[in-house]
Amino acid sequence: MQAKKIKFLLKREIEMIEKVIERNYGAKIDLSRVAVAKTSVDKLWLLSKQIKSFDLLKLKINVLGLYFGRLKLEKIRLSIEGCQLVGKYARRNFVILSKDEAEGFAKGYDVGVEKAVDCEEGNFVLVKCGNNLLGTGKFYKNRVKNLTPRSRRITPF
Amino acid sequence: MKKILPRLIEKGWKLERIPWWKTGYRVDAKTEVLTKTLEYYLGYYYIQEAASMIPPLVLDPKQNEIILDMCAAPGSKTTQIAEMMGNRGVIVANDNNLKRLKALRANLQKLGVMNCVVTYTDARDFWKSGLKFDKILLDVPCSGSGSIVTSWRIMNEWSVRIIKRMSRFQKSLLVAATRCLSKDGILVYSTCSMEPEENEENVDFAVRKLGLEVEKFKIKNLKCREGMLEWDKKYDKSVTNAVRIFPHDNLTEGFFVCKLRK
Repeated sequence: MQAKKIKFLLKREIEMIEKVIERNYGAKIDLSRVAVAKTSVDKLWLLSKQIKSFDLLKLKINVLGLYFGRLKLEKIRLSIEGCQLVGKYARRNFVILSKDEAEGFAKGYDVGVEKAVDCEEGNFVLVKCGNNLLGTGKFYKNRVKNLTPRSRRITPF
Repeated sequence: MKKILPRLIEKGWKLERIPWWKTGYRVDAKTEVLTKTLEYYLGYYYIQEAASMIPPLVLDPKQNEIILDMCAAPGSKTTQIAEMMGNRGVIVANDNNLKRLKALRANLQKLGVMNCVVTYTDARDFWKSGLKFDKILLDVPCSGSGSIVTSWRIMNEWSVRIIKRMSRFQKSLLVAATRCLSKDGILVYSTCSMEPEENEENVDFAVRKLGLEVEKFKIKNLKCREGMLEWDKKYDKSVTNAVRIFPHDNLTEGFFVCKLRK
């Protein structure tokens, strides 16, 4: 990640992202308390505001801030942490899993859902189990295709 | 903490609070078990050696400060610093090992850290950036002899030659860190080694050659011992302000921590 390729978003660009989130997940979230940066392939990162005013060009940056998600046209694929920030306010495009399915999801399996709330076929959905927000999947025929990164999955004993 | 503790207790885990840090708990279970839970997957807890929670406490980071963690991977201390700063200010977490950087990135992400910039630079060259920091944590690579209590492998690899080489390398890191420190800034030097060559000798070097001052510190409920004043040669008197943590005193690995001011 080169500092030159990191673009800090303007207020109106951040508001546009908030609107994409609201449209997709029915969640009104306020990103004004953090700085938002975009890197190549529309990846979004959340950062403390102080990082924005830090002289990043002098550093050989590997990564910065918290990976929030990736814009895909009018949709947004949220990271697990992005899902945890947005999920508690979500009113649509989220699924609820049973405890067994949740464990299967954390292991990387595609799972059937216990309840789907206003889910669009083929769109990204947030995955919940009780109060746990497990990440993002893609919704097909009452099932969730797992999008959890391999490195993050729980590996069997 | 209120939400996660009952869940872990429900699993049958025995949790015992670490006396010197409010969010640290000792768990009597194997690492393989601890890393296979939904709570771990969600980043609700992080596993680390109890003694490695001490250097960030000595650093005492404040919100809005600019902090450099010079040898940061895999990130246990960086994540603790971020927690102490309430995800504000700036932490620059540096390492020059790509494999370990990957672990650092994953841990920062899992624990929701937003105030961190991860850099890939040889720490000895970091001063070339020209940036100055309020506080620096220099948890240097070391022989790891303090970890013998948990890993016997260290004993098999121990040699005087390695210690001498490490000591030279650590001095070069101290020089680089001092260059990056702003005036009146704080540098916390730590190792998980018990060897005076990697500890008191390097602090003595920092005092005599780099002009740093050793500050006394105290951590509530942690039993510490003074730094040694002599080993092969006599060290500066202020070296006694550094702290040795012996495994049998607090049931941790052995550790050495020193707080230096520019």
